[in-house]
Amino acid sequence: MSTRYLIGRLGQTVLVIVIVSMMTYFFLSVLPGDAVTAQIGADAGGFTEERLARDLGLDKPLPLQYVDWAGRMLTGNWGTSIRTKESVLDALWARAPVTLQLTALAMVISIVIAIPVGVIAALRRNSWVDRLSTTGAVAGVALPNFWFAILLILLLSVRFEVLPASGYVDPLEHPIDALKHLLMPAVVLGMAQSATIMRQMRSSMLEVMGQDYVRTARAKGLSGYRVVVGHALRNALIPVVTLLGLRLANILGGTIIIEQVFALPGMGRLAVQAIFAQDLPVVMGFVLVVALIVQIANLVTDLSYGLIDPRIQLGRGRS
Amino acid sequence: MTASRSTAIERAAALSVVPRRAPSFLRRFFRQRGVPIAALLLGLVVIAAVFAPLIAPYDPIATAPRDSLQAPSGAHLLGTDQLGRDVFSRIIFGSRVSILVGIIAVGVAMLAGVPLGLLSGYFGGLLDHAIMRTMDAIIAFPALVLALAIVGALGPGTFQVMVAIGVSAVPLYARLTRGQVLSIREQDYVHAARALGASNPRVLARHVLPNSLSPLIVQGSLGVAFAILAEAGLSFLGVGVQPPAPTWGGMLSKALPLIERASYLSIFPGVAIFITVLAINMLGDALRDVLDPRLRGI
Repeated sequence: MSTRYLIGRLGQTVLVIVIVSMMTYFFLSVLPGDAVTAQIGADAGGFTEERLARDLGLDKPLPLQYVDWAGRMLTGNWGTSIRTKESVLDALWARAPVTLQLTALAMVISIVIAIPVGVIAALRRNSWVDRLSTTGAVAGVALPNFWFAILLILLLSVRFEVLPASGYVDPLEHPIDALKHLLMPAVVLGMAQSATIMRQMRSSMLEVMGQDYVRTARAKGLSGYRVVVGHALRNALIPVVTLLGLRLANILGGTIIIEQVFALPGMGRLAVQAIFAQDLPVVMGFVLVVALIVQIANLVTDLSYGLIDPRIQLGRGRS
Repeated sequence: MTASRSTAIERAAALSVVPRRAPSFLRRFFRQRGVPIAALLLGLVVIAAVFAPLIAPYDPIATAPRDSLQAPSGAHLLGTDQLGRDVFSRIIFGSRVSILVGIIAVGVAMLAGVPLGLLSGYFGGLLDHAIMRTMDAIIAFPALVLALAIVGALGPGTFQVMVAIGVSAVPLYARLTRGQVLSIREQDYVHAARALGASNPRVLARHVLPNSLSPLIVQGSLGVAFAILAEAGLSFLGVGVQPPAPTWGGMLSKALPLIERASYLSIFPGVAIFITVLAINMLGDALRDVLDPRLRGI
């Protein structure tokens, strides 16, 4: 990977993050209920309102306000929550582990389900595995994740009482209990994504299995396992990795609802509470953190191509 | 030998005189696997939405505390909720919100996305860069996060939900249209129209747009399914369409705390969402296979 490509790609990520922050700021700044009213209440006198607006820098032109705000964000001052008076950065930081654990576990579950099923469906085309997985994928895309969560709670918590229906336990204190609490929400989020990943895995595996080098590998007498794992899978994974980056954004988006269903104290739940309280600093902080994570994930996805397939020389022209 | 030869010639002649007509669009569409069932299911949902007051046996909003939490029975087909409202009637009326939000949200997304994609692809240059980088920035937000932030900004309500879901889907249509325009603008008929002195708006409206429509129609139909799911999600969170209006997502949200006492409340609204989205997705997939087979697998 050339340094030039790396710098260019990093620059692109920074540019998108800047545009994202501008959009977040401008959009949430032109709200009907602004920060001043939210802080002092609608009945405050004009004088107090004017003074507070000056203190918050809201009397300046919008672009200048943005520059001030971006400067504060860069120095770690993300403002305070209107609802709890807590620092926004602290509030998000305290809840991030829950959301990140949930996201990571969901990602692992989606990969563990989707990749083997996708490969088997491609290798045994039109078999019952293939048909079942295709039907499952079509149904999976149409299944609202919160309803799937409710059905699982009905089955595993209410009927069989094998997993807890809600709550969070710190994995450093009680790892097994923590896993039990996170398993159901992670399965819900992971399964939803595995449908798409599985379809992509299947189609890219089918394509790769028809290539000359796979035929050559077979012809030289390699076992079926070595042909699939050593030759086909590695190449078929490239489009799947791209998709994983995109799916991460979906899982993060999904945590908002799933944290609500399972009463998990993560960033998504914080954001929903903030929206009800019109707590804009927290909403803005949450939106920015999510956009930041998605951008970093996209960057890592792009850079990982070279590791999966050393033939991909990022940043060098085609020979 | 001679006889069979002459029949073969006659057959060939007959074939050349009366060429077999390609099956009509509708016939090809309905031949796709699952389409008749999906069309029937969606048809039922649409009928429920249009004729809700005639079909629903009870008022979906009127409360009857005495009848609260009754299990499904002859009087109440799918039971009653905590306020004694008939679940079946609420599901029937809930289809109105889902279908309406689904269609209008896609309309909003197309109304903004298609012109942006047309301009971006047709004129290129700085305008293309500016539009596409903005679209990249919108895509950086997961759709639900963006929709939630917009609803947070505008406040809850049906109109706000339509706008929020629509805006989060704008980049999809802008990118799709741009991609189409990039290939269409180099076609001979576009060059010819320009050479004949047609203005840019005329070329865009008369030549470029009509030829970009197929993938947009496919994406639009699948977009309705996404919008219905997103509306259900926002209503489930309580930031979507506000009570007492019956929405499928809202009904599930109210059912969750009662999951042990009245599990039936958690089942039926979900079935309604699932069937509607599944039917639209299946029809959208079939539409794609008929209209634009190149998009298969996307």
